[in-house]
Amino acid sequence: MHPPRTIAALCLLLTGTSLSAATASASQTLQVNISPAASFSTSSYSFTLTKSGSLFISSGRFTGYTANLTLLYQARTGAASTTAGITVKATSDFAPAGGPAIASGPVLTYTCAGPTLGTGCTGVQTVSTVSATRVVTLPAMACTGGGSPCSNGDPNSATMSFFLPDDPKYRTGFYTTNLQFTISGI
Amino acid sequence: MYSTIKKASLGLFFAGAIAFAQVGTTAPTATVSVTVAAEAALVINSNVTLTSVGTNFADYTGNNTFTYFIRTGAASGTGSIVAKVTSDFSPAGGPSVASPVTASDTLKYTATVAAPGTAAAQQTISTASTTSVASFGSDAHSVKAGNSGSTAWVLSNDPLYQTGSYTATVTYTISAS
Repeated sequence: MHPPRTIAALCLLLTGTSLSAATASASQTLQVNISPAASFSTSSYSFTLTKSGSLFISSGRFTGYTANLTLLYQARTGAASTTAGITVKATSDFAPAGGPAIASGPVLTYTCAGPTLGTGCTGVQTVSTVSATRVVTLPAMACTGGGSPCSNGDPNSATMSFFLPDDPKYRTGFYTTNLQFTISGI
Repeated sequence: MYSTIKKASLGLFFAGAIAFAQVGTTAPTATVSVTVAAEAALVINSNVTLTSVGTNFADYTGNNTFTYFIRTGAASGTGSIVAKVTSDFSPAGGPSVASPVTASDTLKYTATVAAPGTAAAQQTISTASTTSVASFGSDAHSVKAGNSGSTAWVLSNDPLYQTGSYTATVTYTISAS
């Protein structure tokens, strides 16, 4: 017994020999596997944490640096997706030394708002250099664009609000760190 | 020919399997930057009531505390805390910083500050200009909760003052560069 694909191939052979008839038809079975997939709309982001002087004055103490980052993404999750979503992890600590240090404790935190596909993180999350933390959780059978059953928006977006506490012990200077985002549809 | 078509069909299935293995995750990066600048803040912890204790016409004294937060420039930074009477004693008839009833009447203070600050010597405060409370050098840092400081006040007790309650406002200014 031939599997279904082989039978389809045989059908093509048979119809190919009857082209002299007045009407001829041929059929072919096409199959494609639509797999979970996800991606960001850009390969890199860059943003600067800044602080508001008015906050500093009104509170009478060092407050913190803030920045918002909007992620643009597309996703198609599988029927059995359990880990689909967006995560973030610091791949390097702030440099040079003397300023904020992620590895030394809960320094760089974020909250999530408004994912147009999936569910944003709840509460305050702490960026780690050791493990990735969740930004957006995507449910099974979710997809970007085109309306129901997918999202209306294409690409989807989610906003992260970062907060870096200020500390007088930081030396004055310019510091940078790198975050790595991962999006998965699986 | 049968053999050729069979291979094409198998090819479609392989393509699906390869796609499943390759897609699913991407990992862009974000560069986060922050400029840490020199800054400072100061909190007055309480108001102070000056009292005369002991012998008659002993000067009025009192002490108030403050908490300062500071970060000065790493290379050539500096910082300071200064004070000034921004509202003289009122109502009239009592002590006055700007127009004392006797020329020798003064309002003075002696500052104490925790490191890294350096307290100024005793100062006679003025309504016209600021006077030093403390100074800071380069790369000076308070702790996150702030460092402590205090000012011990001495107000002349002049018999010419009318009895009553008098209030003045002293403004502290902290700066860092």
